Amino acid sequence: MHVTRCIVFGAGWRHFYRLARGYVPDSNFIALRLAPAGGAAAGYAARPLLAKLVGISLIDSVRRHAVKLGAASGRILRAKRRSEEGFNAFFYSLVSQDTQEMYYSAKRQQFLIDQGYSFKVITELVGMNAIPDLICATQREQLDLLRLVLSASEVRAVGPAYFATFRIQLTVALWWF
Amino acid sequence: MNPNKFQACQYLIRTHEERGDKIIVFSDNIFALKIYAKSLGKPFIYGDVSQEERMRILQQFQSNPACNCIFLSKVRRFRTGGQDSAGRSDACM
Repeated sequence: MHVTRCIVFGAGWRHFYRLARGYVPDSNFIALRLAPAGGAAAGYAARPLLAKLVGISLIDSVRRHAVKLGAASGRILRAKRRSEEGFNAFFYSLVSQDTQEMYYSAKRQQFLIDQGYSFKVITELVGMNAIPDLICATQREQLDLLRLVLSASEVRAVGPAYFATFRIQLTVALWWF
Repeated sequence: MNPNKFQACQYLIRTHEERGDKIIVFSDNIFALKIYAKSLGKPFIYGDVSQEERMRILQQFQSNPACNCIFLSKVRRFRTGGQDSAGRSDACM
């Protein structure tokens, strides 16, 4: 199989788009690498960037085994051969409400809107409580987890905000391609 | 650590495993990464995991139909012998 690597080092959209356009029609598979631009910010930036790549493949690629996207920090993944289901890679972002995560989540959502992607915010996962061996199902287990968190030295470094998320409602942002 | 998030994560992994999907879960926080992965019995990769072990886990994820879910910390670039080998996946968190 022909493999093309498209290497993007913090490139702007236009540059990136050109690169991707050049490669997609001729290849089954694109590997995308992101430069570690901006450390922590890179993880957040990379997700939409990869989303962008898939957007391009939807427009340009005539192939069945088109590019499907992969991961938050610069990996790219190949589509399975399930053409009947089309493009259906899922990205979930699990966000605790009223925490700093909301801030990043809001930025990500704005980006998706700007780029014309669809996403959905889910506040309740139907059937979640019904699964057997559900983690932290009892109050006792939840307290054990809290104790574990409180006793961990890593957490002290993170600060009180980390365990303040305990028992907070959850929002799931889902987008797909 | 939000137990609701933990449960949601478990639920989503389960749902996608049932579909036969490959799943990668990312966590910025190593502490949470380890607790999640160990509780759910999934392999995980972060900074302290040896190169050998990384390769083994990634290899398993790519080729073993029984290994459908891995946990990764986002920070490290995976040097995988010149390949970008996180393989195929259908769901990321």
